[in-house]
Amino acid sequence: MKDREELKRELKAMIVEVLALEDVAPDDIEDDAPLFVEGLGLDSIDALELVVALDKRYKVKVDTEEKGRKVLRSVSSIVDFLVEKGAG
Amino acid sequence: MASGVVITGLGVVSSLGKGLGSNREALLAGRRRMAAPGLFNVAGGDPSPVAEIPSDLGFEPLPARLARYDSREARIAAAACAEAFASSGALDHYRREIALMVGTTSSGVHGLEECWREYRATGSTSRPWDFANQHLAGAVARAMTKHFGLRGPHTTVSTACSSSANAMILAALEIRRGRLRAAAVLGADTISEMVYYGFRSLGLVSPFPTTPFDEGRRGLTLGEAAACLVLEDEVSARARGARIHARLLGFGMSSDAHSITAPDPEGVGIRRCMTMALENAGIGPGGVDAINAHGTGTRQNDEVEGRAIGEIFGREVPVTSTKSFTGHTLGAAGAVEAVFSILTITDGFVPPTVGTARVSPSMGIRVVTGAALRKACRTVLSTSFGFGGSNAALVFGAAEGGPE
Amino acid sequence: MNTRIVITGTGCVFPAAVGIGALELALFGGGAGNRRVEDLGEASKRRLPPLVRRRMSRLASMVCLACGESLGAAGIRLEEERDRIGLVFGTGYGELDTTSRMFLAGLEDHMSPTLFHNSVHNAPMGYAGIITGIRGPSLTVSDGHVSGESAFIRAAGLVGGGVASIVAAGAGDERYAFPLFQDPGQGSDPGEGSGFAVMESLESAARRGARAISEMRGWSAGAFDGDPENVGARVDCACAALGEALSGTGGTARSGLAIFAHLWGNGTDDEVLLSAASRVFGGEVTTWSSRDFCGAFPASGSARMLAAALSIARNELPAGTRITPGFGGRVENVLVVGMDPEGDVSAVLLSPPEGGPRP
Repeated sequence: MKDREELKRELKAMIVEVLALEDVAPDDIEDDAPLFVEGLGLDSIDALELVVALDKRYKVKVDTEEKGRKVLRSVSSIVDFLVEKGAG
Repeated sequence: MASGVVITGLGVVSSLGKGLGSNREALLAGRRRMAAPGLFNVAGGDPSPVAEIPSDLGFEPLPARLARYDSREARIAAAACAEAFASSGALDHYRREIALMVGTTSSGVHGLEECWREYRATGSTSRPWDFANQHLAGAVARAMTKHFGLRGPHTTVSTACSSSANAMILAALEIRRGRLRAAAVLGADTISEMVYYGFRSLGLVSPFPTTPFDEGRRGLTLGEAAACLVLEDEVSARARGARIHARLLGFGMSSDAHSITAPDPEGVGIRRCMTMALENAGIGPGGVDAINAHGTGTRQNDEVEGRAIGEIFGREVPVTSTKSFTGHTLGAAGAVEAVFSILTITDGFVPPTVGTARVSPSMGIRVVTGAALRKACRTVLSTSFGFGGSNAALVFGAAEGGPE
Repeated sequence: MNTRIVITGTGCVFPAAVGIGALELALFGGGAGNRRVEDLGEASKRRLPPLVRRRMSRLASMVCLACGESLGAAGIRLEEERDRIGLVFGTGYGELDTTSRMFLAGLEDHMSPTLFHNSVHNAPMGYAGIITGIRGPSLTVSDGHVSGESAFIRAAGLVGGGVASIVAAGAGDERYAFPLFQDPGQGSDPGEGSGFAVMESLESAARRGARAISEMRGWSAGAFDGDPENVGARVDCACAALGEALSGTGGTARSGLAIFAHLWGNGTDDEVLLSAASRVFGGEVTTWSSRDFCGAFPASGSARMLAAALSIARNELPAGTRITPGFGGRVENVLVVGMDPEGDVSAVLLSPPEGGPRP
């Protein structure tokens, strides 16, 4: 089971890669900064891509839109979710 | 002076059956067929339902000389076109100088899926590179042109859900300007794995049969269909004594310029599209007797469309989504729903939005639920709002007279 | 009653020609030969917004760059005109590359929603709308190897029908390298690219003070209902298409006329077109082949249209044109012709804006 710091680094790298963010380095993403609307300005397609990526990599399912909104709020909230699911 | 456009032939194949008669019966009886896919096995269990064309309906393969074009969509397209041509008598009268405007989204995908399966299994392919010529969007138009010996121009419009509605507008534009006297408008699309899993990946597919405009709606149900309408110049049609089912009074086109997958939440584009169609038809909102909505059953579309309809038309005019019957037939939807809108005029009934029980109050519209609504309708508006934001609206009017 | 239709701006992304300036150099300076668009990333970074372009397919990027350039060249003020402008796009293969990637990544599990929504034929126009804010009618057509000519013909229909006074029309196809089909091989000479032209009514151009580069004086979209092996019937169909495109020009169109088509240099398609041209014009005609410039792809009609518009504007034929003795000094008319191996023939007649009687 990876530690939180390692998961955060992995997630930040994954966000940049999966969402094809140019001009954004993984380290630029703050742990608690909102990912959607403000902050990085991601949208609903990005949310869906992240859900797919999380399932692929960590075998966790985010199966409703409401759950998605809570889990994907920030890098920290994703990590919390992964830890809760015993993933990583 | 622009020519009037009339419809003299109708043909349709859908999950409700083959032919206008079976479809009409099902609409009147409130009967739909939505079940787990039979065309392919769904991985992972718990499949969302689809509205497949019943497998016991026979469809002729294309003749041997057109074997390279033979596909599920070509066969159902041929059946719909044959029905429309037979009832209109236009083919012989115009000596096949009939244009063909096709709307389709995923034609040819089955052929591509076969290539993929072969490649996945063997690591190589036996298909020549120009296999693509007969397995892409434009292939159905070429196949039908050769199958029926049509000698007018043809084109294929591929704008997702508004494809065949846009195709109809293109035909109407040419007829109005006197460049064409007759055109067949065809919409055709079939269910495929790619589209099924694709819409699912977007979270747009309902886990139960779709319930458009319902408070508890969870998405669309995919369907497959082919529909064909024969459009003619009004003077020419009357002169030859053709049976006129309805008139195409007007149309509107616009784009959302917002997102590839989601409608603009403000509904600016769809409102403009509907008001353009009314203006083009020379009528006001009060002149519309019924609306066959796009009504896919997704949370976003129905909310945005419902509110836009409510703002323009208020609560009086009955609204329905026949996608509750046929499912979302993608590129064929415009043509299928045009046929059903014309049935509303000729047969005097608005089909219910079957399966829908409690309409979202936030929309402020009257949706027909439960049983079909018997109502004399002289003017019907049909809307089709495509993925990628291409919007189309069509206004149909009764054959005799019409709005002054 | 017939609306006169003019071209007021062009844009393109072709191999060895990203942008109209590069296109002119390549066409008239003879810098052809490439078949793949390089430097797409560079141009995309400069001109497409980051949050949108990160998702776009290669085809969508080429198309949006070409479309955007044409709108700029025509001097369109998007904030004012966005509701009045239409978009028409023609593509033969569509998003075949994106579709293949979806298959190869596997359909059942973990399908990428981005790849799926990018795979519809009208995705490039969806992006064009998002980037430009254009909210007029948007059409995507797919007509095999006449997809290029088709786009301009349907755009003329929208302008002539009064649905939009300005239309950015163009076509595009990507050179594909699919493991799903066998390699095309050298003989088929596949290319790629996208070309756009802003088309509008003469009245609209005058109102805006826009300069017309050339006029679309006639066109025809001919479908062939027979057997592609029947050369005689195909020639008849091609003659009808050429004749219809010329009709309404009062017979002045034959002087200074060139045909821009995809010519292989041999084979049935060439035989059909050259026989038809010979019959219609009573002898050999000056011809330029787009194959030499950009190779074979369904939307190559967009390269022919842009080459024609440029030839008329410069009164000069592209390098490599086979000029017949009777051609004369001026480029009066260019017939852009597309042919599909299944027999369809579409033709568009372009002329200088001042020339010829009103149709």
